[in-house]
Amino acid sequence: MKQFRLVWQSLLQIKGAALLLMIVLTLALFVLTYLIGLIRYQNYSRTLLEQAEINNSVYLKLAVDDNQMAQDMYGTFSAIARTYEEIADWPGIKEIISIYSYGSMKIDGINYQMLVYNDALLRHFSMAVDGRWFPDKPVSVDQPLPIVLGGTGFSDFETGDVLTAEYSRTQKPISLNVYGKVKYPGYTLSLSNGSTIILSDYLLSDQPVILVRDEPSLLSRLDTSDQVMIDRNAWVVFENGLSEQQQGELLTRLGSYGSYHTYEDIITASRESHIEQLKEILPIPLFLFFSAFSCLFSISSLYVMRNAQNQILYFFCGCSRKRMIGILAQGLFMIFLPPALLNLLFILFYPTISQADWLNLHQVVLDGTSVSLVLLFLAVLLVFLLLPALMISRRHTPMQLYRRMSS
Amino acid sequence: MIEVHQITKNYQLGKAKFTALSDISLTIQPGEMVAIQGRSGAGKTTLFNILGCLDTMDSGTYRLDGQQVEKMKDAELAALRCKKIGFVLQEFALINQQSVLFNVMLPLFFDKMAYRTMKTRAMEALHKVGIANLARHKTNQLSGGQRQRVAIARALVNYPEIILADEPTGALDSKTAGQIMQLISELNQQGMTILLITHDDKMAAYCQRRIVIEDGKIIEDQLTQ
Repeated sequence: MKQFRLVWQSLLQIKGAALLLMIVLTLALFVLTYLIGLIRYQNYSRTLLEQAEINNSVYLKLAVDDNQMAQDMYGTFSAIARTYEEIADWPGIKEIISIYSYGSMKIDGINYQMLVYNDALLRHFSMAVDGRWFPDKPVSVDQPLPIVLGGTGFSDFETGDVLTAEYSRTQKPISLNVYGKVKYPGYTLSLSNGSTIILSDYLLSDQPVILVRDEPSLLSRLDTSDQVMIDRNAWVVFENGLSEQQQGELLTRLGSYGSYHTYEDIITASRESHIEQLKEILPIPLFLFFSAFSCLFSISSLYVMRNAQNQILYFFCGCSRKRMIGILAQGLFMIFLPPALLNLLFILFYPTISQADWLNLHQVVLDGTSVSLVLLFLAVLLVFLLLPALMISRRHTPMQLYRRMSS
Repeated sequence: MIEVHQITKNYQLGKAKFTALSDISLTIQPGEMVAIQGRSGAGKTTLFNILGCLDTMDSGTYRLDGQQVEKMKDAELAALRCKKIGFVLQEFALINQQSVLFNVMLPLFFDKMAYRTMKTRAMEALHKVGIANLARHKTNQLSGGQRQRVAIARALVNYPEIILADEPTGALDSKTAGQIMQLISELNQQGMTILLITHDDKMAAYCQRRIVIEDGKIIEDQLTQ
């Protein structure tokens, strides 16, 4: 408490500036947090792809006649599904990773798309979940349908919950058992992107989705037809050990069905794009950040200078140099505390906020790692801002400083 | 008791080395009141810094009440300053925006003491210098003489054995300076050791002993009373 009075005394020297410093630091930390979140999302999306073990694969964008799709949607979907079944049977093709759906589920008045995850999808793209990815053995049809919740917007539901939903095709209620929830940031694989350039960040979605397992009893359980809705794009995974010629032939053959991007191309393009993107996005946040930083440094220097005389008095009165720096550091720490707390609370609660869909900064990952990075930044900043005081106290004796300041 | 033996202190001024103190030896008995005099740059302040445990020496020994000061670390020196030495400086060295009471309590912040006890001790010191009625005033509302009394009260608050005063009357008119010197003399009569750095022979006349320094060496050390 005694120490606090001295720290408070040091802060009183720069009341207005301290307030300004708090505001500037709050903004700087938010900019920093956003940048960290952005970079982390880019790394996260690339890492997911790299961990999917699909190095020997291509992202196939099947050429589909949109007019035909408009005229006969389900017929076109069936044709897409059949094409992928055919491709899966080609020699040299190991498996096809595609996403399909049999409609949506309405829970508490909100429609959620229901996606069917087959073994291939689960093998390569089962993100970390709270709970688990479906039961080991199929449950009987009179039991609630096992589901996993993906994306954001499911803050009200927990694993183990049994929910009643209305199935869009039959308008009948269906009982669902939440086996798992995709862990924050909650992204799931998305194959809906057919852009000319495919990047890892396009292959994820944080849209709320209900994931069900592909099993023989699914259609009868849903009491629906086999009218499937399927993404026209899919990952085509090659067998290992194919010769370059065999792979080339397969690629030529796949090329006749549409266009494709190899896994390596996507990873390379993603890396390059992330660097480019950062170059494009960074200048404004960096400008703001460095402006804030300069402001921080100026005000901190002011803080150190305004307190120098008091610090010297403390030294005369029996304060050690270490403790003098400690008092200054604690003063800066107190200025840092409100912005840091505000920022850290935002980061800590962001997953909940985004899950509840109150605020969603898309393609940004904020979690415990961001907290560590922000704290690390603050620690480095604190040391950096104390450097002038440290240097002054090393170069001059307190009496020299006192005389200089008195005169 | 203060015992310094052959202390030397050099400063590096650019590439040149400047010897501020050269082989200084002296002993000051408890209860003495000593004036240290000399021209500007003679080495008075360097000696003040070393005797006040504010700075280190390059060579020599310094024993304060039997404790070997030159071997002490920063924290030990700080504790020694806190418990044994009180400082009174020319420009008062007060925190202007703060109350008289806070300023007097300052050394006690660095001692292990409850805040309530600190207040009691500070009031006691203010009574001793005759300005207890000004405890709640801000120091920038006080006259020069009152401010120096606050500084003296602060120097006394920790019951130190030694008071080091660097030109304590330098910023005061002659009448007030006389009153302050009277107060310092009274403290000495109560048994406190006083070391006074001054240019002013009138102020030095209050002391029983006069040490003159020139070019970092003691050229005169004599009893005056």
